[in-house]
Amino acid sequence: MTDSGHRQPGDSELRHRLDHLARDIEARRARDASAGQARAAQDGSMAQAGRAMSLGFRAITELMVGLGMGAGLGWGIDWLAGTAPLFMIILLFFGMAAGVWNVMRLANSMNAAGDSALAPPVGAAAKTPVSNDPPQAG
Amino acid sequence: MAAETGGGLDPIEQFDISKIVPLHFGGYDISFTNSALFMLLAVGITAWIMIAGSSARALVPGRLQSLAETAYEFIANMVRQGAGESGMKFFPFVFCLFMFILVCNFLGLIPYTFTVTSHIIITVTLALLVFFTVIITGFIKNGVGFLRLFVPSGIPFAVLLFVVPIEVISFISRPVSHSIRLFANMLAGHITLAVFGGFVVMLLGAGVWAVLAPLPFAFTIGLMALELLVSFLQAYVFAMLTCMYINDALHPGH
Repeated sequence: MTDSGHRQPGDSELRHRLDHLARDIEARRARDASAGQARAAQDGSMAQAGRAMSLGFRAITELMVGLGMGAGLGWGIDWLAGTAPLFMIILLFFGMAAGVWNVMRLANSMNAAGDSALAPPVGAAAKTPVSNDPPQAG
Repeated sequence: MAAETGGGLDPIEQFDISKIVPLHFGGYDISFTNSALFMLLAVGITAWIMIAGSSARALVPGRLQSLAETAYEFIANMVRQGAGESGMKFFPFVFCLFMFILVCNFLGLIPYTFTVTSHIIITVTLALLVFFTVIITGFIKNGVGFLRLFVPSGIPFAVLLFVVPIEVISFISRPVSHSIRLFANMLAGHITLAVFGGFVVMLLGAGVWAVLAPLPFAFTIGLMALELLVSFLQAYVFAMLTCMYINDALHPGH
């Protein structure tokens, strides 16, 4: 390939350089890959923790709000009708049931849509998340 | 020193509302506050991203254009999957909600800014907007049939006596949980950030103990990353739940 007379390096020398380059590229590629993998794993665990946290928070708000809403509604009815603790006690139980029911619905929708139901796939803030699937209303 | 007096290290101080331009109208205080300023900023940034991003109309999008396109496709997918093709009529509504919350959350993460969504009055307003949109749309589209939402089909009458109140309570509690979730997440996150930031300052001012100051500092950096994620997730959850509620309004009786 090369035809420049006296400065042409020997075949063996060329091959040696080529091998050297190939090794360099290989090493760098491996290093980049492992670094990328480590970063991805770190991002993944962080994202997973965040998702789990927000899922847990969702469940607990559903539970508490159901309970509080039942008690509050009952108290309001009592206040209007003057039937002091009657409706508050009844609706407190209904509210509790509503809270548990909501959490069960949430869990069902999680199961139906797989683990990624609550949140888009990892790193979706940066990419186009075409494949995310929020749960259908049950 | 600030650490002893507590001045400037109060983790709640960041949520203070301050009046920038005091205004009074008809006995109401409608002053232009820092909250209003950051709401305007959020709207301005969103408008800039979308208008500047879509003005180029390049076949191969630049950075801003691909940001705008990603935002559009993300929400459009969410609405289609959550509320069906007929739910796309509500796409502008969901898009505005999502972008507003997202930009407010992200703006609040910048030091010295104000987090609009950490005030429950804002999140309640947004949640009630969704709540009444759902009720009004439901009655317009389905008439009295909207009430089927509270009556699951194929259940004996005796059980309905229990199920209907439960469904009603669970429907009424929607705006409450919808708003508390966003508000509490932002509030808790920012307080935690401020507290750990305060630890750094206190340790630095505590003589020998300053050696330990990098520890809470490292933790603050980790928290910042988590908060960034939470900011996005909460905006996403808010918008996704909006889609699910709109789905209820369009197709009750599921």
